[in-house]
Amino acid sequence: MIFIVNWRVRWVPLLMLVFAGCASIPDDRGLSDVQTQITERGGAQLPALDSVNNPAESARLVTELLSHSPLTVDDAVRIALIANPKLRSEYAKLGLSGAEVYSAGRLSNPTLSASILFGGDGDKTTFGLAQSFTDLLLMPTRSRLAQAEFERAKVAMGGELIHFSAEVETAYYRLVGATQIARMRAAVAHATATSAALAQRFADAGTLRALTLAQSQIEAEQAQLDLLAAQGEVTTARTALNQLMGLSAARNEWTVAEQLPAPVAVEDDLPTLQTLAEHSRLDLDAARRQVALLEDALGVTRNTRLLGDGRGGDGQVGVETEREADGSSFTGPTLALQLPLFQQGQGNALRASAQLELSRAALASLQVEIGNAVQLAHSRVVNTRTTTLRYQKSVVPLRETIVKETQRDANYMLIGQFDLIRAKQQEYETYQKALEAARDYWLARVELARAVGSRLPSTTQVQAPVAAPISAPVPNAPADNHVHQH
Amino acid sequence: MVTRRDLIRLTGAGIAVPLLGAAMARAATPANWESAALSAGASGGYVPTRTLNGWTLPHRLVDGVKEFHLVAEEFEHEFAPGSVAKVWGYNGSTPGPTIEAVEGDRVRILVTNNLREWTSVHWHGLILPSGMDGVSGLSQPHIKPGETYAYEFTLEQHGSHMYHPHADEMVQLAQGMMGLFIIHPKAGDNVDRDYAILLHNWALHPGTSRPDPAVMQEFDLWTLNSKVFPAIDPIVAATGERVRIRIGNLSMWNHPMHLHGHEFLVTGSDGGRWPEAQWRREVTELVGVGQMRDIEFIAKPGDWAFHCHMSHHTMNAMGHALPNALGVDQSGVEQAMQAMLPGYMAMGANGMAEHSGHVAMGMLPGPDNTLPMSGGEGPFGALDMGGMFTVVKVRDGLAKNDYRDPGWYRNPPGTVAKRVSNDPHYGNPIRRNAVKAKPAAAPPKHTHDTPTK
Repeated sequence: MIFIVNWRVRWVPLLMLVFAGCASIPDDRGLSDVQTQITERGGAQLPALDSVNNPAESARLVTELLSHSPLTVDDAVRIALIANPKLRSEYAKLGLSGAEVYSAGRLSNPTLSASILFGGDGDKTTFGLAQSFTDLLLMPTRSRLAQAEFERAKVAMGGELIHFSAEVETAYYRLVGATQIARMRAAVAHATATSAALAQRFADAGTLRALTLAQSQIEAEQAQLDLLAAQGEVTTARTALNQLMGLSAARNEWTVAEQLPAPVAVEDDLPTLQTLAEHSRLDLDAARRQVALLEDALGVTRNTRLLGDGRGGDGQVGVETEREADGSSFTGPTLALQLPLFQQGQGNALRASAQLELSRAALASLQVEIGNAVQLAHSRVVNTRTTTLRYQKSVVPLRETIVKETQRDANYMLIGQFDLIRAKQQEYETYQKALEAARDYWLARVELARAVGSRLPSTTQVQAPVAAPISAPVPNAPADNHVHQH
Repeated sequence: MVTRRDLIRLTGAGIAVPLLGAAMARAATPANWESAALSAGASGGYVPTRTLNGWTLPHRLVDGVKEFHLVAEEFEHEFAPGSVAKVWGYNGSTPGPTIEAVEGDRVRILVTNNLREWTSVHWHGLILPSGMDGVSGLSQPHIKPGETYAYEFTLEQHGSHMYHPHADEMVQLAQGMMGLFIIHPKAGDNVDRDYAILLHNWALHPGTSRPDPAVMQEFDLWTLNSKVFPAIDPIVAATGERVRIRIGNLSMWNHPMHLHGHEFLVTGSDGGRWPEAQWRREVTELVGVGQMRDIEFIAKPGDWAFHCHMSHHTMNAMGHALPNALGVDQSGVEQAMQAMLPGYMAMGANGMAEHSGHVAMGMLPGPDNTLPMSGGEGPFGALDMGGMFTVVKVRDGLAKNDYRDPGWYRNPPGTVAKRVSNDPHYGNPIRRNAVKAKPAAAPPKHTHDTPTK
């Protein structure tokens, strides 16, 4: 029955701990460690500590970043990390874990007791001073556990922030895509409006019937409705990003890139990514630490189960002095112990055991999820990449050929204007699909990076976007001014 | 006013009437030109037929038999600069070379088949033994690829005839296989110039380079001797010469062939030269599918259009489902179009005349290997024709064998239509009181972007 850990040997280090100003956490609550982990995984620069809870400094940083025109995806992430309260709440959680480190590393305070009993023959006073010795016994382990929990919390925070950055990037790419789509719908609306206007002119001249005119006009109306819907999507995507960046509605003036880069030259291969995920996923690391922590805690719980269930007071040692009414005094040590008669801490042990099992199951589940998520995300990247390149290399050029050849037919009066406009309209639709494919590719890459838990190695190959081959018409732009008179 | 009839009465047969000076706008007509009597000329001699843009097949005499050799084959052919196609024909040309012989000749025609399917040759309108008639499967076995067959028969008639395949006929005709077979009368002939033309049609769809044999009515190119204007040779003659044009039709449509400036006589067909009582005076003669017609006239000086009178047969390919742009005001909308399609030009509001000008300027490129629907320049500006159109060019004093293009006619002073005013309200023309359409306005001004190539 080992109910007291070999406390004799532990006195010296305990005393040292007591008097040497025990466990503490860094001043920045470990924020620099979090930054290191994030940086190792290619993540964004967190704001400096002095701005985390400093509104003026945050505002200054954000204003400086918002002056970039357009915002890059990295700019958006940095703004979000500064201005979105997310970082502040994560930082607060660090404080919560840190608090445990403090409490666990310090002895609980001793208890002073005093009583005075009035009696006929005089007063009896009693003074006592007691200190929890289970505390003394358990302080090292509690300290160790709290420190481990703090480390886990830091790792978990890093994971949360990386995850949050991925959300910002996703919102950014969605907005770029929505804007491009709206531009293409405007081009289609221009084409159908021109066709309807032309049809009206033919109808005015008496060479086009009311039925054909109405069919032409309804296409134009539909295109306008599609444009409205697309513009609505832009507003939604914009607001989502604005919100993630932690900006108020009034600051919604920033712009994003108009073009996305081309797919990288060589995508990362799956085995490399799976290995990378094993090392990089911070939430996986945190889950492993949680298991280790609970294993340690289970051991401690088992070893100390006879110290009671935590209810009804722990063991105390102390000293008491009693002065009798007649002036005599008695002084001596005191000891209070819970006797493990009715319960021997089975409840605690089972609870600890169950918590460990839970955490092990969660870890296993996470491992399965990560492996599958990486595989799925990788295949989506490959798929969207192939689609994007196909659009660029063959579908878009074919559409352009079709428009060019159709124009030639129109030049020779082999087909009419309405067929020509239709060919151009189909070109715009194809352009839109090409833009959607590129957006989907970049969204897939964000998802893959999130699944891997780190910036993708192939990110170093990303090149600046080239100018779009697509120029949507600028309605009301003056045509070339070479006027030819017959 | 002295009429031609007066002249004939006055002068009698055989005496040419001298020119009476500038007051007579046209040269006198030889007195006996309407007579059916054929002058002996150089006995048995004839003016060789001139196949526009084509040639006559030489023969060799083998034991008194005129031996010709036709080769059926595929080759490239130019309809006009800008349109070349792989076609089928004979001896490297479509139509194939003209076979010329004289009534009474015994002819042997070797036919070598270089096509990749069987063929045969039918001698259209000829009187010959049943087995020489050239209907494969009926008259003879098919001439398989690589084989050479010999047709041999004696010519028992004279007249204008044709030859063409009678195996997979629809396809082989559509690809260009046909030719002329001219048999001169034994007694000689009495024309000074003898021209021969085969009418045809081709489904050479825009942007392609091989005719489509499955088309029955909507053809793209209508040709005289497989050429379209302005690539068709002119019909050249000297003033006062008697000119014969033999017109054969192996196309899928009938063609009313019209000659300007002359009244001609239709004097024969592939049934031979008609008796005079059958001759008809026409200015337009309908040549049906499978028919030949001989027309004869005395050439008058000038440049005279000769063409099929179906107006769309004097045009090359054009769309038929076009929205009708007549009267359509595109001002304002044109810019919106150009914002999307920089090469666009609004045209057709006042007709199609402005279109070919723009095409000629290179501002409107068309599909590959496709001719614009009309073109060609005359001495006074754009001629704007295509298809079955050529010019009969008659000049004073041309030498007998001079078939060269003499350039454009120089009109005697006072004989050209001239402008008397450019005021739209000039004069006082009498009109019915109908609802008037908008008066003639200035042609639309529109902007041109740099032409797309």
